[in-house]
Amino acid sequence: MPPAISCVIPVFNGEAFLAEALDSVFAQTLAPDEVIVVDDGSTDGTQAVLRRYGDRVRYVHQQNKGPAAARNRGIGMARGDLVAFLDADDLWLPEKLAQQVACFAERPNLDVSLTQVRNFWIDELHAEMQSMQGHSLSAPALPGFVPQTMLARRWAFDRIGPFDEGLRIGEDTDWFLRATDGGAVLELVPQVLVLRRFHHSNLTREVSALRNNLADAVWRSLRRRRPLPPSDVKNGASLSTSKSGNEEEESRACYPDTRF
Amino acid sequence: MLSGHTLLKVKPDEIAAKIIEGEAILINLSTGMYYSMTGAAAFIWSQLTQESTVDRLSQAVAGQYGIEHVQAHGDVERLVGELLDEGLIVSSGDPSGPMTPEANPSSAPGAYVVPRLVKYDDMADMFALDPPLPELPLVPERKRA
Repeated sequence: MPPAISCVIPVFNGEAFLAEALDSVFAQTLAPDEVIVVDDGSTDGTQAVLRRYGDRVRYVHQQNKGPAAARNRGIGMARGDLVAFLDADDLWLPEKLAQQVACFAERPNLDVSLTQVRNFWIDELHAEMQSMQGHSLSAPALPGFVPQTMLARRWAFDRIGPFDEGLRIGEDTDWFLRATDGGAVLELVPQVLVLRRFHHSNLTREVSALRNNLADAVWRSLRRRRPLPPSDVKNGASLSTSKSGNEEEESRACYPDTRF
Repeated sequence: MLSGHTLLKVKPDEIAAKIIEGEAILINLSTGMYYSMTGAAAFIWSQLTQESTVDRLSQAVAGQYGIEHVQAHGDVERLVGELLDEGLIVSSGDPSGPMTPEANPSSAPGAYVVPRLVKYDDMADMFALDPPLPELPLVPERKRA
């Protein structure tokens, strides 16, 4: 018997695409056992969209606190052994959960399954889509280190901790870095199983804030992995490269209490 | 060939960079590589964020750390070469006019350590969905969850 799956969808003023997102969840070949929508203070027609789904959706409303807080709320409500996320503007492909659950069956030590992502643009942004031809964002498959591809053991959040609610953007990268630094086992499914929609108000467009938070997250990650504070770095070769494997071993040796 | 007075500047479209507690963190969003620099290297990076040249950087490093200009020049030249090779900065010709003298930092610089760029390559996948977006037109920002 497969483990129970909870799907958590944070939404803020997502009436335009929420139904498509939900329909992609209910079209899964392996359906989740529950779908939790955390309304992060929407003021548009989000509730009206949700009413159409009746008791197929567990709904909770909170004051606007950002996507990290909304996801954390959903994790707290989740009853499943595995927790998945979907953003209200994105889509799952029908085999998404089935393929990822199979990964958990094959790898009992797996903590987090991720998938490849393909971006697409709304019709209104056709010109933007055309301008992105040849850009990496238009690649047919991109590694999906984003919540909407995740299927994670629920207790992974107990060990790694919740999403950092102080970050309105980049909180997912911060979480993934904490997870890998802590020794969690993450696996990237080679298939595209999530479609990410580009529209007018993607948080990704907040380039400056995103870059600031990415730099912060990397700095914190390096601190976690280091045996010594930066001021104690010794003279050495002018340029050195750290591979993830070696880095991880060093991390575990230095911070045994943070091992996952 | 890079001359001592070639203008150097950060590639703002492709680099996420921040100095935190004296450590410069750089992420090349085009390649997914990321880098750390501390001490004199972080100092040099802080100067580069306002454009500079090897000559001026050397002068600033020598003054900041009280070392011989010859040593500073050699160390700066090598670090700048690495930053160029990694695509973190670009050279943009010679200055057309006098440059504004660089401010002396107020904090104590600490002992001089040969400036060093430490490179990491283990997170490229994690940054793949956040590449530089130089071609995207500006669109109104709206909050969402």
